[in-house]
Amino acid sequence: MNIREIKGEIEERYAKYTARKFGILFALLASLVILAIAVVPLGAASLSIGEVFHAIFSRGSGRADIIVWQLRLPRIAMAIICGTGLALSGAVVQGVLHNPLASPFTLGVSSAAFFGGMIGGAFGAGMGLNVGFAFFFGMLALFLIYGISKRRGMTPETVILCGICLMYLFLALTSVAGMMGGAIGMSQILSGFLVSSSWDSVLTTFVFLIITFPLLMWCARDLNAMALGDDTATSVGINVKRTRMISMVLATLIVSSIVCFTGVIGFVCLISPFIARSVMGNDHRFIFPSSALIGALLLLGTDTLARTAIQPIEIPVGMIMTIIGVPFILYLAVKRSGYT
Amino acid sequence: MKLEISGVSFDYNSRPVLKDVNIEVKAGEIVSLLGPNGSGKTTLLRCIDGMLKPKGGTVSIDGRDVKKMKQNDLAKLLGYVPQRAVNVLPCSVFDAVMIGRRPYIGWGSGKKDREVVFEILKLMGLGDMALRSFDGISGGEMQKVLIAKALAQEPAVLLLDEPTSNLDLRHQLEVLKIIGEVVKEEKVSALMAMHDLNLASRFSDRIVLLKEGKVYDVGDPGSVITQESIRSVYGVEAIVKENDGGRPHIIPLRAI
Repeated sequence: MNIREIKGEIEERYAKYTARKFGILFALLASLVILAIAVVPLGAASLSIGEVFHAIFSRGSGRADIIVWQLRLPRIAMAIICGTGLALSGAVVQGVLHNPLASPFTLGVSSAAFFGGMIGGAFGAGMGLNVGFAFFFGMLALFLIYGISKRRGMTPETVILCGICLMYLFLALTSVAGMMGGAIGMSQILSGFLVSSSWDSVLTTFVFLIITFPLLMWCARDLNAMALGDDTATSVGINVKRTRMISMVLATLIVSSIVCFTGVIGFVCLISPFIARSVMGNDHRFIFPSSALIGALLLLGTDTLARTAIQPIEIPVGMIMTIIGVPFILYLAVKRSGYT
Repeated sequence: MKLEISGVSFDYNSRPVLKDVNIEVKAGEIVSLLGPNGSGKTTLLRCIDGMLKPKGGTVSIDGRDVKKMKQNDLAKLLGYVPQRAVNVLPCSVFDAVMIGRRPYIGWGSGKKDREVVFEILKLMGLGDMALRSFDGISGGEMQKVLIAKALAQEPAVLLLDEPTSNLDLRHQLEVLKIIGEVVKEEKVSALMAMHDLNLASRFSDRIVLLKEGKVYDVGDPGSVITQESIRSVYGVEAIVKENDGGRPHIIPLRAI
């Protein structure tokens, strides 16, 4: 038996296996770019492809230019950023809690952050403070859940049950606070919306995402080791507590910066990592970017549906996400339970 | 390089678990930690790998105090094999073993790291399942992967927490044989907590018998595993015979 040969064979298979993952990432990125371009002409005000191109490349002040630059593009950008951020934070939370059912949505972190954002808004001190409040409440919820999950005898399912209770609590609190403040269109706010996306909100969320993403990628490898147990991770030189804390803070930061602008858009942060895992396996270095791209695709797709399905009425994108997401999760649950 | 444990003591909530434990493991030697449940085997292992901070005494590898080492530097010297792996989000076998390279690399893995991992996969007979998912393999194979991960750290000291407790007969023998070979070839000092006295007797160079957090006896299997010590430490009446290698083989009769 030739040792070199055997080694060469494993090496070759491994190279293929890695190349496949990079291929999938590239395909996802390409589809996102194509989808983003394709949806610009779609909308309540019908624009021809020619008009759109003209507006994008020679920015004027005509009707098409305003629609494209003030309405369509910021909204598309927002959908991509929010989808990316929410899906990424979902993947992080799952990796940290070792729970494939976890996500900022199902743990109540999103709704807690949204509640916080609303409280911040009541003080009317600008977006920075809103995000700060959102972050505070988001962390509160996440730590509560983390504490619960560390208790003896907690299964992943009971943790999620607690998370969903927390979610309803904060949604209720938000409703009450909203009524007291005489807020508009509660149902729309509570199920997530991208209608009022402006370049300002795009920029704010983008800044948070661009800062947190590389840091999370840096944690990804250590999260892989932590999936084999804290002992194992510690024994290879990982500061488990620090990595866990950093990742949780960053994930909550992303969610907080997003929910302040969009309300609670659920499911995208649960479904995307789910799909990413089934395609990519459990290497977080691949799950994070692929989940992010899948999330962007999903949210951009559903938001396009939301603004075009029953024109001129806008369906909140969160509702569409729920209508698509729930059957998907149910299907996966049924399919997976069949195996074990 | 040798592992030296001198005067280590540890308390859990002021209840003493380890009392003045002194053990030395030389390079190329397998030492088994025996003792009933609660005698402090796992606690001792955790005091060595820094997971728990001993209340007194020192643990040193090649004369360097473990306490004063950076976690990452320690990880280059000391490999730990847990009793079983958590695998909620399983990765591939290759990636699991690659985790052992973590102390040497940053984010990505270099050619050398992959070489090391391929080499170890081959040594452990895991080449065929390198790309299989960690949860799609048997318990014995999983244990081998955990050992492979520890070996990928290229450690001087290997700590194993009951490496055979979840394995069937065949895998028990296979895993211990591999550990023995690696220890001899790579001049590793191995300390393993064991429950099975007969396996420990067969595969260890020396035995440390723990009783209520203290070292009851140390020495070669023949001198430590006796009718008298089993009665005193485990509270079990047993017959001690000899196995084919001249090592003690016990047949437990009844609890006293």
